[in-house]
Amino acid sequence: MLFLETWFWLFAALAVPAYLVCPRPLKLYWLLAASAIFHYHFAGPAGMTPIIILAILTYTVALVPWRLERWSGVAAMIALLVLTLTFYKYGRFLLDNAVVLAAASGVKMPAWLARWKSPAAPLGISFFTFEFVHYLYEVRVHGRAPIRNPFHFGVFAIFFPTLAAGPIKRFPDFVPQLAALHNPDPARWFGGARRIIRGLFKKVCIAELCLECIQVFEKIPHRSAPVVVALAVLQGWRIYFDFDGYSDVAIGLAQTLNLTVPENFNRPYWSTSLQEFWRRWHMSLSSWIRDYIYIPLGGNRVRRGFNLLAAMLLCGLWHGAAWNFAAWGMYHGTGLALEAGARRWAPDLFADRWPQRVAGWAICYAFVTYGWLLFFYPIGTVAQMTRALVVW
Amino acid sequence: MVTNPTSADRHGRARAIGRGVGIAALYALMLLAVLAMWKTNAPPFIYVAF
Repeated sequence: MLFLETWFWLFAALAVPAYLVCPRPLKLYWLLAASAIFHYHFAGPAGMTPIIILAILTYTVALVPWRLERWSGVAAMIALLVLTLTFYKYGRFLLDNAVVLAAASGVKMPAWLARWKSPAAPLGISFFTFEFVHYLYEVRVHGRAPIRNPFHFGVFAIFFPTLAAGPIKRFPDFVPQLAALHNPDPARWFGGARRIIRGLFKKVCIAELCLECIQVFEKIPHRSAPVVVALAVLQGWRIYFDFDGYSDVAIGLAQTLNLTVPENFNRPYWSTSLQEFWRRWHMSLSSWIRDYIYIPLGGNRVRRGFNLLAAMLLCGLWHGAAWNFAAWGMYHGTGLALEAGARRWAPDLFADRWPQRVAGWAICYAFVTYGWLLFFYPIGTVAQMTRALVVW
Repeated sequence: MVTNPTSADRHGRARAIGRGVGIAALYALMLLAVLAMWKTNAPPFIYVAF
């Protein structure tokens, strides 16, 4: 539960004041030590090992001056990061589907392979893998100077406020702050503290209230259209307040240490188009997907529809190894591709006038809200819910 | 040149103090609500599982 555990708040009550009274030259080391303690407590030695090995390799590989025109160690390191993420997060999922396929085609799988249990994924693997890939890509493709100070890289890798669930940091914004660590002024510190309280309020008082309502609706045996609508709306608000609350605590904690990490939300449910929604929802992930998947695939220049589908499919699967996440990603990819087409063929529909804005908001909100059903429920259940929506 | 504070200055200061007290009260209420609804077995944050 991390930010909801008593241990965490005892840890923060010691770690933050100790950081503030720490002499300036020692702040970096304290930050690294506190992050390591946090990581050890929540992940244990087995959970820490993969991130330590990958961090050391990523740090080292980025420092080697690979010749750009040749196959480089950086590309191999990115592949290793992706493979590690696939092994921990998708290994069992891929194997289960292979077993089903093999059975359907009459191929016999070895028993040990079918029984294999994937090890628990290390804490925050989806987040630190993306940060490392971003780091290597920026060094390799955009020619940015790599991080030379290993302590800077260590804090970038395991910074405790963002370790478990982001926001996904960008090293050109984060690492320069580590070179000049100093205490925040009182206004900034209290701003961070207020943000932490806001975040906890969103999670404990709003998201959990939504969850309790959801549990009431889920117990209704006959899922009629109003029940399905209520479930979709409540799930949408629950995930928003849950993750925005989490992000507020993470960003607020970083601010009490006078460090700035990226924002994650900007009132996404006010969006008047799907494109705008993805610029306001989980911004640190959506901008990562844009920069490191969508644009390298060709972006708006070639095969835009395919690029959108592929990027959003990966975005969906990033959320979990299950077909409903893939369906959720494809659903949004299809929506974005259709919207891009509509923008091209009928730009008047997206004019900045109030009737279009109101209609755009209603369509976008309905589209996103229905999508939460795919996110939270298995595909079979969503099919039943959809039938209830269509056949009153 | 030193001038005495005008009525507008005093008004501005009083408004700023009132705003500060209001914000402090709001956050104190939010914190109270969090503590009142705090559960040791609360459901985890959704995104931590990802």
